[in-house]
Order: sequence, then C-alpha cells, then structure tokens
Amino acid sequence: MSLALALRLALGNVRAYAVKNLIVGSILAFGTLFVVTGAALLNSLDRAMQASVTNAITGELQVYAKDARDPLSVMGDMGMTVADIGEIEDLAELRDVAASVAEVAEVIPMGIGQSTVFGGNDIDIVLGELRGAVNAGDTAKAAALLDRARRIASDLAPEMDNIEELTSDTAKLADDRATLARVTSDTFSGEFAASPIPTIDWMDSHLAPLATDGKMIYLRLVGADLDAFTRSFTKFELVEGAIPMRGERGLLIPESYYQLWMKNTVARELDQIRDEVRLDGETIGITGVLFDRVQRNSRQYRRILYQLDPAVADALEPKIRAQLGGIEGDMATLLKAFLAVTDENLESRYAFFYKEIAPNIRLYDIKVGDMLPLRAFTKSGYLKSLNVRFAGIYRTKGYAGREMMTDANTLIDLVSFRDLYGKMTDSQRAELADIKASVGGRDVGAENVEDALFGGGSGIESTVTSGDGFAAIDALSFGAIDARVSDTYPPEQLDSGLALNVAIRLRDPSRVPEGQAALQAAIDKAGLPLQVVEWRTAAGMIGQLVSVVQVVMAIAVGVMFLVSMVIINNALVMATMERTAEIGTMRAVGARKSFVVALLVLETLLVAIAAALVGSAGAAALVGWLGGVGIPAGIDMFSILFGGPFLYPSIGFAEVGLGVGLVCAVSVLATLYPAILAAGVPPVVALQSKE
Amino acid sequence: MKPAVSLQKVVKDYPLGKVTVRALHGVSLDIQPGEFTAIAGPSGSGKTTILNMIGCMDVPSSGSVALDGTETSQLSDAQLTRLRLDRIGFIFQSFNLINVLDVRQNVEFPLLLQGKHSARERAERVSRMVERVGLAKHAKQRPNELSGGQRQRVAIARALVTNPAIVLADEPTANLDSHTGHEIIELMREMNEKDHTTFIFSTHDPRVMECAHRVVKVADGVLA
Ligand SMILES: Nc1ncnc2c1ncn2[C@@H]1O[C@H](COP(=O)(O)OP(=O)(O)O)[C@@H](O)[C@H]1O
Ligand SMILES: [Mg+2]
Repeated sequence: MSLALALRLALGNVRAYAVKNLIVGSILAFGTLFVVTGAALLNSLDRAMQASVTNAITGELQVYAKDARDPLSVMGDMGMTVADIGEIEDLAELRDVAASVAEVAEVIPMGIGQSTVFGGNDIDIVLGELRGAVNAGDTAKAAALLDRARRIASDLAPEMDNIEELTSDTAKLADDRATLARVTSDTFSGEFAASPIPTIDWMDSHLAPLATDGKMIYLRLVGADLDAFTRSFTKFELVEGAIPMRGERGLLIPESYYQLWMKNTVARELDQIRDEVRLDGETIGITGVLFDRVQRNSRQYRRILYQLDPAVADALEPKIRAQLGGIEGDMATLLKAFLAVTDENLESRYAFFYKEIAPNIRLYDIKVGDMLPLRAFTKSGYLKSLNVRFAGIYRTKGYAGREMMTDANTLIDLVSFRDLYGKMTDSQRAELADIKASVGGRDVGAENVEDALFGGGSGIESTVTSGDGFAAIDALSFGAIDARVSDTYPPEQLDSGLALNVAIRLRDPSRVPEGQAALQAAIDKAGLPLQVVEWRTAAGMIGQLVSVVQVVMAIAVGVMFLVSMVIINNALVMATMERTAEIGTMRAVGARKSFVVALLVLETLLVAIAAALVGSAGAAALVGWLGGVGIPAGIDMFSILFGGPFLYPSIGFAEVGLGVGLVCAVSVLATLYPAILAAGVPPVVALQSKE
Repeated sequence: MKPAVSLQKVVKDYPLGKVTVRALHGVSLDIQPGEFTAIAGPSGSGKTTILNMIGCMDVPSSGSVALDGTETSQLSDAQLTRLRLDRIGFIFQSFNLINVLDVRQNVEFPLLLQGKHSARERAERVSRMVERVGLAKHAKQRPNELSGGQRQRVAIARALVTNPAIVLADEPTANLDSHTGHEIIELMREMNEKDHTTFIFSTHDPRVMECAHRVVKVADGVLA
C-alpha cells in the first residue's frame, strides 16, 4: 500500500525535480551507453577471437602436464626460447579418458619446439648442385657450375682487401687469399677434372666459409597429427604442396614465414619496398629510410649475380641494358643500377624482375619437395639432426599479414617432432645400455652417457659450423634418430606415445567452461597428471588480450561509476537539503523513516531505469551501426583477433542486462547516503518551514 | 475523564552553539477532550515548542507529556511516528501540502500511510472530507493551483481524515489575510463542534483568540 504511495510520489517527484533528474539521468545514460557498448564490443571480440584462435591452432581446450615449468603458449610469444611445458607420457591413456567425456569431439596431439634449418649460401648451393652434376655424370652442367663457383670466387677477392683492414688474423687472411687464388687460377679447371669429388670437398671446407651470407633459419615447430590438425582447424589452408598423410613425415611452412625468411633477400627486399610504396603510400625519393633501403639492396646485387648461370647471364645482359636505357658496364654494374629503383621506375623494374630475372635464380632457399636438414637441441641438450621433407606451404586464413610472427608455426608430423624432441624409443634405450656397458660399466644415467659421448651437453656441437661437423655428430648419434631416417613411420604411432600438449575440439564451442570442467574431472579421476586450460590461456599473450582489455575496461567503468556516484550523491544530498520541509511534513504526518528511504531510492531507481533504457537504446544503435560497417583491424595483430580485416560486433540481452543492472546498482548505492540523511530529517522542521 | 493532553513541568532546552536556549521553563498544562484551545503569545514565546511537545515531534528536556493518559517519553521513534499517524492531525502555518499530489491525494496521504483501509473506504472518507472543507470542485487540482485559504482547507481535510483525537495547528492563519483566516478558524470550530475533536492552535492574533473556548497565554516560555 505505502509502496504504491511511494511510487506515486516518486513519479511525481521525478517530474518535479526535472533538472536534477536530467543531470543524474544523463550521467547514468552515458554510463549505460559506455558499459553496454563496451561489453558488447568485448564479447564480440571474445567470440571473434575464439573462432579465430580455436580454429587456427588451439582448439577450445588444451591439455598439458600439470608439473609444466612454464605456462603453455600455443600461439607463441615474442621470445625465441621454447617454454618447458612438460610432457604427456602416453597419448593412449588421454585418448581413452577424452573418449569418455561427452563434450569432447576430437583430440589432436601436439608438441611445441624449435629447430633450425640451414638455408645455405650461394657457394653452398652451387657446390651442392655441382656435386649432383658430377655424380650424375653431366659434365656440361658441371663445367657451367664450376664456372659460377669460380666467378663467385673472383668476386670475393676484392672483399679480402676490405677484410684486411678489419682483421688482425693475418695468417687466416693469407690462407683465404690462397684459396681464392687457387680457385680462380687458370689451372683449376684441370685440377677439378682430374679429381672432381675431392676438389668439391676441398671447396666445401675452404671456399664455402668465405661467403658469409649463409643463413640459419629458425623454425618454431608445432608437431601434430597433421591429418587431424588440418582437418579440424578450419583456418588451415594449403597453398602449395600436399599435406603429409598419416605415416608420412613432412613439414608444412607458413607462407608469410616462407616469404620473409626463405626468399632471396634481394627479391624480398624489392617486394617489401614495393609494398611500402603501394600499400603505405611511402616514396623512395632521393633521401630517407626507403631510399637507403633501395641503395643497400642495390649493393647486394651479388645475391642475384651469383645465381645466374653464365649462359643465362649473357642472354639477360642486353635486356637489362635496354631496360636501363643502354648504359655501359658489365653485368655487375647493370644489376647494381637495375636494383637502384626510383619512384618512377619501381613498377616497371619490379615487373621486369619477376618476368626476366626471377625465373633464372633460386628465388627461395628451399623449395617444396626438398629434404630439409633440421637441427634441434634435444631435451637433454645434445644436437639432433633429422632430414624431413618440406611437404608444403600453408596459411592460416585471416592470419596472413605483412608483419611477421602472426603466422609463424611450422607444422611437422608428430613422430618427427618426437625424434627431434629427443625422446628415446625402446631400441634406442637398449643401444644406450650397450654403450653404457662398453664405457666400462660406469654407473651413469642416460643423460650422463650423452654427456660422455658428446663432451658435456650442448657444448661442442653448438660451435660446429661445417657440414663435416654435423656429419660427425650424426655418425655418433643413436641408430634411427639421425638424418637418415625413413620417410615413413607406422601411423599408429600417432595414437599413443609422447605428446607435449593436446588440442581438444568440443562439440559445443559455446560451452567451453563446462567442457573444461568435465574433461579435467575425468582426467583427475583417471589419475593422469595433466591440466586442462581453455584457449584463452593456452593461446599465450594473444589470448590474454581480452582479459587485459576486460580489466582495463572494468577499471574504467569502476572509475567512471565512482565519479558518477560522487556526482549523483552530491546532487541528491543537495536535493534532499532543499526538500527537508517536504520530508519533515511527511514525517510529522506519520511517515516512517523507511518510507522516506524507500521514496528516495525509488526516485533514483526510476531515473536510473529510464536512463538505462535510453543508454541501452543508444548502445544498441551504436553497436548495430558498427556491426553494419565493421571496425577495421588496421594492423595484422588485430586481424587475427578479429578473425578477419573487420570486427562486426553484435549486442544481446546479456550486455544490456549487465548495463542496466550495473547502473541500477550504482544509483541505489549513490542514493543510500542522501536517503539516510533524509530519514534523519526531524518532523519538527515541518513546523519551522516558511513558505 | 482523563485529559486529552497533559503537560507536567515541561522544560525544553535548545542547544545554540555553546549556549543553550531554554524555550520552555517548566510548563504544566491539561487540555480536556473536545476543547478548542488557543495558545497565545508573542513571537518567540514558545508556542511552537509547546505544540511540538504535544505532537510528539520532539521530546522534552525534562518533565512529562501524556496523551489520553499515555506517557510518551518512553516511546521509540517508530512508536511516536505511529502515534502521530493514528492519533494526531497537523495543520501548519505554511500549509505543508505535498506539491506533486492533487487535493484528493493529499487528503488520502495519511490513510495510505496507515494502510488499514480498503480503497473504497479511503475514497469515501476522502470525498467526504474534501466536500466538508468545500473543495469538491477542486479535488483534482494541485496545491500550487490553489489559493492560500484553499490550501489550508486541504490541510484541515488531511488532518481530520484519520479521525484523530487531537488536531494541532501552528498559527494556521498567519499566512492568510484576516478574512480568510477567520473562515479557516470557523471551519476548524465547525469540525470541533461536530466531531468533538480536540483542537489546539497557536496564534498571536487577538481576533483569532476570540474564537477559542480557552486561551492559554505564553510569554518567555512560561504560562501567564
Ligand atoms: N531549534 C531551535 N533551536 C534553537 N532555538 C530554538 C529552536 N526552536 C525554537 N527556539 C527558540 O525557542 C524560543 C521559542 O520558540 P518558538 O517555540 O518557535 O516560539 P513561537 O512559536 O512562539 O514563535 C525562541 O526563543 C526560539 O528562538
Ligand atoms: Mg511559532
């Protein structure tokens, strides 16, 4: 009864104190707009991110060792070091447990590690081809390749003069000069013809180290059941090559990584300069950063020159000369001038480069189909080598960008991953026992044996740089785990054995917490020492972004509401002061204190509800509009989070409910003090009031 | 018969900064049921303070206040509030109507607070009261649309709608011209005569005093 009265009074008072309520209402409406819009954007971002991240690599859940020293970060963090995420001893057990959980749709075993692949320098490549030609008995090709090697050597001679000024190691310098002199001498072709293979060996060890541009390429390896991986992660897209089948070893390199690290650096630089001009609207001009890059690239002309077959070079020369307007000079001069592009000729030179030059050089250090010599340090710290076929190039849809890091996981079959990871098979263990026995029955553990064999952890191997050194290690390493493994493996090896982490796909992606709880419970019940984390956590830094934004936003909302509360509180206290006569009268006539409190709370609540409706409507309109036009990602990082170049946010009852609830709570809180003040107004003021 | 109101040696001190102002110096006063009493005295003599004591809006510094023989000094705030709601009607110098409510709603206000009458009963009582104070035609109007005299009639209706034992009026005519003031006093006396409700009103206007059965004179906080 008196609630109806309070409501009637409150309604009247809201109108009667319109100015005050308009101010309070505006603040609350703005607060609602902010909270509801913010929540809608965050939730939309979270959903987009979930789709983007879970369908790229993480799955909805990830399982890994409970005793992991580092947190799992599937997407990779900035650093080059690999986190120690422990091991899942036996996949079979986990598969059994997962099969008993209704929420789980698929189990994709994985491992995360890193390795290097040696890109080789120009001489390495020429010598490698030369060796092949000699073995194949192709003397014409061998002669042409030898010619290339000798041209490279003659070009290196002037560099020795530069080095002379820098080095104090005169003995080595003299040796190197002698090497170049021998290769470039007129008699060298004869020496080669007399004993080709020993001569190539000699060039491998003496000439190849002189060319300093050989490169070690780091690969962030994600081992996986590639068949399950590529089927389950819908963002996977094969660009070139083929996905290794179950039982087949192979490597899938991300396209952007391939372009960035494995392309001929002159060509890549040309690409990037063109991108800066075309996509970023930069100009080369005659000074500045981009101009300097062009000049530097032009000085790198040898990276093109050394790769040209002499006959091809002769055919190209007049074309380049014509392109340059008929200038004088040898091929080196021409290439150098050609690469010194300007804003005017960039497009025509770019087109010419890809039409005439690129097809005649080794545009990429490695090509699909190559056997890649992977090197990795095993768990126990020794260097392991493994040849794995470069099976294909892939991209993660929506991840490709011009900035690196966004799509940098090289996928490798789980079995090869295990080999590189260094987990021993039973037969290897047996072999180790034999070695142990042969070292004289000394009581040494597996790791110590490795130390004994390889001179203590990673020590010497990491300093080895020549191919011979690796071969030496390979010769020492355990039977099957060396560069000469078979191209295939029994497919059932994917179903059991070691993994480092496991991606879980859920039947219902909108019920991640439930799935996580169910799986963790089943794992705990089975006594497996594993933990289940959701994709946000498993994704690493990227996954934390929404949480970070959420915290930032919560703080912003908190501060905003605190300020609002102070303002509303003050406005209400002032209003209450003006209303003492009215309140005193009600008290005198017989209204209880609680009635006065209820009345004031009701008044603000009415304002709050109206404001929340207005604010929510505004937020709905704003988010609706944004959902139509999309929020541009701008940078690659955001494209990944958005799952595309635009985020199309949407709004639902949850966000509106949150906004309305928060605003009502805040306004009630803000009214408490003024209401208590009002309840304390003594009835006597009614008699003191003057009209 | 018990007196409707009985004040015994009531002292009231008001703290005023560091000093205390003694507004009442031991006032003793009995008022019988059905009396139409004026409390008269100059401004600042203590009239309002006496009405506050009788109306349970404030507690005496010493002495006792009894309504219908019930001692009020021991009652809690909630009990005093209920007592005011059920037993006392108030008429104020400044009318003190609730501006957001119309005439009927203002009159209905204490009935709604009481919460013990059905909607029909409330409607009947309100209609009767509004008619008795002669505002039937203005029932839907808001206080700010009424004249001072009309407003005070609304206040009288509100004070009487609960059938209180005592009606207290603090200078009910002070804000009215003498003609209207006289009408208001007449209306109050009419109510007093018909319902035998005890009326106690304060005034410093000799012509208003003339209408009272009994005039209690106050000066400087003591009865003359
Ligand atoms: N709340 C108060 N605080 C301090 N002094 C007060 C208060 N109320 C009344 N007084 C003092 O008490 C005396 C009596 O006041 P009051 O009862 O209002 O007189 P009247 O109604 O006859 O004009 C006056 O001197 C007045 O100043
Ligand atoms: Mg007074």
